[in-house]
Amino acid sequence: MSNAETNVAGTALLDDPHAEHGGNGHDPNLAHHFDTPEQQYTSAKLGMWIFLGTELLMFGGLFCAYSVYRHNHPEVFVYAHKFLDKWLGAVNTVVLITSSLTMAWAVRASQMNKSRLLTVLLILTIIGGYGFLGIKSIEYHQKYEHGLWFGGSNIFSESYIEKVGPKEFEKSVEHLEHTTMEPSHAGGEAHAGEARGGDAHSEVIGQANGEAHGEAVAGHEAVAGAAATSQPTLKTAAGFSDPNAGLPDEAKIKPSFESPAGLAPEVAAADPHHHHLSFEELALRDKKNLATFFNIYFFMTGLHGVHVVVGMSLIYWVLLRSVGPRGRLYVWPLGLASVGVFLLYLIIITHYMMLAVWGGAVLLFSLLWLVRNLTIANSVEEGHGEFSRDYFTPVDLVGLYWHLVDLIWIFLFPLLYLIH
Amino acid sequence: MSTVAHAHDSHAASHGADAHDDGKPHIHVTSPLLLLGVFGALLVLTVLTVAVTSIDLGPLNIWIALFVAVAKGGLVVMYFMHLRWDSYYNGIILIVSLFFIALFIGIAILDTKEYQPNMEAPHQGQVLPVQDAR
Repeated sequence: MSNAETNVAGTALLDDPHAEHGGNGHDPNLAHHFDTPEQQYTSAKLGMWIFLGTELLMFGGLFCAYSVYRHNHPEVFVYAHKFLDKWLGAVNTVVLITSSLTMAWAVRASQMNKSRLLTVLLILTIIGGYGFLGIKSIEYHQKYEHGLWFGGSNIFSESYIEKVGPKEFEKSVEHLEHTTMEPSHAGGEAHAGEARGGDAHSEVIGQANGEAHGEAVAGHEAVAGAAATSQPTLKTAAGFSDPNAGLPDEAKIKPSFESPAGLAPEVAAADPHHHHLSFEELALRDKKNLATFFNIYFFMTGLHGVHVVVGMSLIYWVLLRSVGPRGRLYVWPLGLASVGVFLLYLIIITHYMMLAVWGGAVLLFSLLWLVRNLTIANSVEEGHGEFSRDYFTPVDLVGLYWHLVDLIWIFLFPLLYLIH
Repeated sequence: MSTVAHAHDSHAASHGADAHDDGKPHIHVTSPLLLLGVFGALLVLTVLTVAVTSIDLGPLNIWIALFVAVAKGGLVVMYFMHLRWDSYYNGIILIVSLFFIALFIGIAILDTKEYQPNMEAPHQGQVLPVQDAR
C-alpha cells in the first residue's frame, strides 16, 4: 500500500517483477479498480470481516432471545436441556474444531504454494462438515422420534396437549422422562454410594439409551449405563421429600426478581445439584413454556446448520478452483457423489426409504458423470490450481467463514447442552 | 520459485514504516506447531467445559462455561482467523459487533428484570391448559 499513491494504477503492475501470469505483466487476479494486490487483498479481507460482523449480529438476535428466555425461565432450561445428548454435542464440537484446524492448515498450504496439500486439506474439511451434519442428523432425528420437534410437533406445545388431551400428555411426558432424558450429570459418580429407589427404571433407561444412540458414540453406552443405575425415582429417593406437597404451584420457585431466578429454597436444599428436576416439580408457568426451549434450540442449531452447509459449499467451490482443469473433471462428480452418499447415510438414521431413490439417483448420475469425465481426461490439459502465494484470497476468506461457523458452535454447545 | 524469499521479505517490510514494497499481499504464514498447539488447547478446553458441568459451583457454572467459551473463541479468532497478525481494522469490526450484541442482550435483560413482577402476576390462580392435566 505504501507505494499505492506514487504509482498510477497499472504502471506498478507493469514494473512488477513477480507478475508471473499473463503475457504482458498484467496480473489476471488483480481487478482494475485496485492499485496493487496488497490493496485488493486487504480490502477483500476488510469486507469479509464486515460481513462476519453482520453474521454475528444476526446470531446475536437469537442469543438475545436465549438470554431473555433463560433469565425468565431458568428451570425450563435446567429441565429441558437434559433431553439433549451432551455427548453427541461434545463429539460434534471436536469434529468442528478438527475441521477448523484442517481449514487453517489449508490456508497455510495455499500460502506456501503447496497446491496438492491444499486440495487434500480442503477435502478433509468438507468431510469434517459432513461428519458434523451426520451427527446433527442423529440428534435431530432423535428429537423428532421423541416428539421433541419444533412447533406443534413438540409434545410440550399447547397445540399438542390440546390434540391428545391431558391424560395422554401426562403419559407421554412420563414415558419421555424415563426413556430419553440425558442421565443426570455426574449423578452416577456423585450418588453412586447412596441407596436410591427407582432402580427399576435403570434397565429401561439403559436399553433406551443403547437403542437411541446406537454405535454413534463409542463409549457412550458405558457412560449412560453407569449413570442410569443411579437414576433416582424422584419422589422416593432417599432423603428426598416432595417439597411441593400441598403447595400451590407458584410457591415452588422464588420470585425471579428477588435473585437470578432459581429453585425454591426447599427444592434447592433437597436436591442441591438440580439433577433430578422432573416435569412434576416444574412450576405451572414453566410447564407451559417448555416447548419454547426446543424452538430456541432448533432455531439456533438450525441457523448454524445452514451455515455449515453454506460453508461446505464454499469450500467445495474453493476446492474446484484449487485443482487444474483435469482435476476439476474428477472433483465435480465426486462432490456430487458425496451428496448422494450422505442421502443414503440418512436412510440408516431415518429409515425413510424415499431417500434411497434420491440418494441412488444422485450417486448414479455422479458416477456416470465421473466415468464420462475419465474418458475425456486425457484430452484436457492437467494445468494447475488458481491459488498461490500471490493469490489465495478465496481460500483465506472461505476459511474465515468456516471458522465463524466453528466459533458460533463453541458458544452454542455449552449454552444448550451443558446447562447446570 | 523465488516466492519463498519474497514472502519473508514482504512480511518483514510490513513492519517497516515506509518500506518500499512491490504491492504483494503481506502474508503471515502460521506455523504448523502453532496450529497444532491451538488445536490441542481447544480440545483441552472442550474437555474442561464438559467436565466442569459435573461439579456444582452454583451460579459460577454458567460463568465458567462462558469464560471457557470466550477463551476458545479467542484462540480461534486470534490464530485460526489470524486476527493477531491482521490489520487492526478487522479486529475493531469484530469488537464493535460483539459490543453491540452485548448492549442488545444487556439492555434486553435489564428490561426483562424491570417488568418481572408484572409478568408473574397474571398467572396466579389461573387455570391453564397444563393444569387440566392433573
